[in-house]
Amino acid sequence: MTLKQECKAWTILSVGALAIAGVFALLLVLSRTPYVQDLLPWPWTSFFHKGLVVHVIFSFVVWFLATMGAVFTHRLVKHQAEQTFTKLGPVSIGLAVLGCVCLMIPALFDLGTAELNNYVPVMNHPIYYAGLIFLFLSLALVSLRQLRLLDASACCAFIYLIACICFLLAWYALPAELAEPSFNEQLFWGGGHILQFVNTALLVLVWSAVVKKRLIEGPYEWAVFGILLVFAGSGPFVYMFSDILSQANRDFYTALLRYGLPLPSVIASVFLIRFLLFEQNEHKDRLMATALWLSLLTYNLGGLYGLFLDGTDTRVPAHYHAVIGGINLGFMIFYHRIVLPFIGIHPVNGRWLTLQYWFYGLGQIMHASGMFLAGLQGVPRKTAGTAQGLDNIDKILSMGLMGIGGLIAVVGGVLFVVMTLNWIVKGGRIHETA
Amino acid sequence: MKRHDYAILSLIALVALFFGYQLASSFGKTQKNVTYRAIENWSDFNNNANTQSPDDEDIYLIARQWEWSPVLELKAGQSYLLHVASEDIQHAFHLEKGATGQSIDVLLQPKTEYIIPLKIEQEGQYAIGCTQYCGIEHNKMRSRIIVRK
Repeated sequence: MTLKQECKAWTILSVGALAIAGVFALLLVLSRTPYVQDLLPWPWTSFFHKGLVVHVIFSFVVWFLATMGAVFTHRLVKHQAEQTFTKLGPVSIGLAVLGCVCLMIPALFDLGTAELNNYVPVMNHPIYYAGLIFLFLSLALVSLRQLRLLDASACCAFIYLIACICFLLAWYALPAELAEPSFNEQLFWGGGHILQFVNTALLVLVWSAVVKKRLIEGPYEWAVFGILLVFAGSGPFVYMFSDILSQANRDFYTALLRYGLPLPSVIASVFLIRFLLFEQNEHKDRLMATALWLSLLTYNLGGLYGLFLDGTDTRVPAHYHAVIGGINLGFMIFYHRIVLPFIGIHPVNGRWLTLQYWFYGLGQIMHASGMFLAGLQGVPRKTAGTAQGLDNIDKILSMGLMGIGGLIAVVGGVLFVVMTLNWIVKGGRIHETA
Repeated sequence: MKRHDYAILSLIALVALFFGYQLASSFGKTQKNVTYRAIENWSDFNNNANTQSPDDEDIYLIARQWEWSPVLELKAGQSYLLHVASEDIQHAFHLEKGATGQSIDVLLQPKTEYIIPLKIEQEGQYAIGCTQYCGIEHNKMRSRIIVRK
């Protein structure tokens, strides 16, 4: 396998992960639809939560990690020829694919029980845990390979390895007799927070890749990635200075995001704004500028909403939906403008491609803003019907904005998956020429 | 690098150091004035929760998958000692900011009693919730504190 083929494999895995997440979202809807639910081959009552776990793990964890694989491989090509053979490529891709299969099996065969814990939702079944190990191990191997570049991507890889260390330390520290919900929550709590530093680093890497120049000047780039690395690097030490089940341990990771992420995000955003407003670039076209503006706006809006969190209302999902939406927009334009042309596929510019970005970006902004406004009025998160307490017109309008925005964003997301997979399938094979 | 780059980078370093200091100094700080002790006799705590009235100084609240019991009814402006405990697994007691001007968030270890000084001046209903994942119905673990004149 060449580096180019490895990059294509990560691309198929990441976009494919979104397609799988979409299929499970559809199955979730069907499992809640009267009469139709009885036609499904699974007991729909237990499938709902299991299907939800698969939907979240593929639309969030697998999509992000596989994109990290694509970013790293593409970056590696800058230092080596694209036809360089890689022994690690087939191993890591094989492990990741095996991991993805294992992640689906418990839901499809009604095994174990579901846990919707933070960051990495799980199913309490050995096959699912094996799937997680294969997936995380696969990206750990790719990250170890990336370290030798000693650049910004190596920083990102190192932060990912820190997250893996946190998972291992948590697993070692957790008492075996702990109740399953607490066990799974604490197992992924520390490492899950560190993964948000990885996601931020990835966003900056894809912004830089898309503009096809050094977006952030040398010392500033080191400041961005250095701050991310230093703050994330404190993560594992907390396990040595506090009991894993203590409030100190729990609160530290929340504070870590509050203090560690804003500054690098602001610096990178300022440089992107400078590029979009003032710099002439032969690669800067309307679509790229639109996608980057939407990514910038959505991501920073999410960051802003994060300053106003309080407990269990809908401001919490407003914050992370907008942040994730901003990162997703960065990933989308990275695939369309950088990865697909690199693997020999040229996306067709046109109305639908432009609309996809507007739908997804504006949809996410409306969705998150609706939730934020509702949260300000005390609407609780993850509730439905009368439990939402929509007792005035402001709350109803806010949740309406959330619903309409969500639908529009889904249309944008579906367009991305369908168009991108279609181009990849039509693009044909990459032949090994080296 | 130009001269202004040095100035900006120095500013970035200062802000990063300030955030680092804030993070380090927040480590281990628990909620103000919250004390805790192990519960030796759970049935006593349970009885206290079931027989309390708004005139008592000590009030009791039980967390369990996935409910808060009982619904607390308090008097506005009266000082209370809220005793909260989890009957089963880890939960976290969260009282919204509007109640006391600062949100309260206390991680509850099973069979441990947490004592929180509480005084709510304004009458109304204040949301409480669990902020520690505690099982598949975690998000339904909500209740309210009703404050009357």
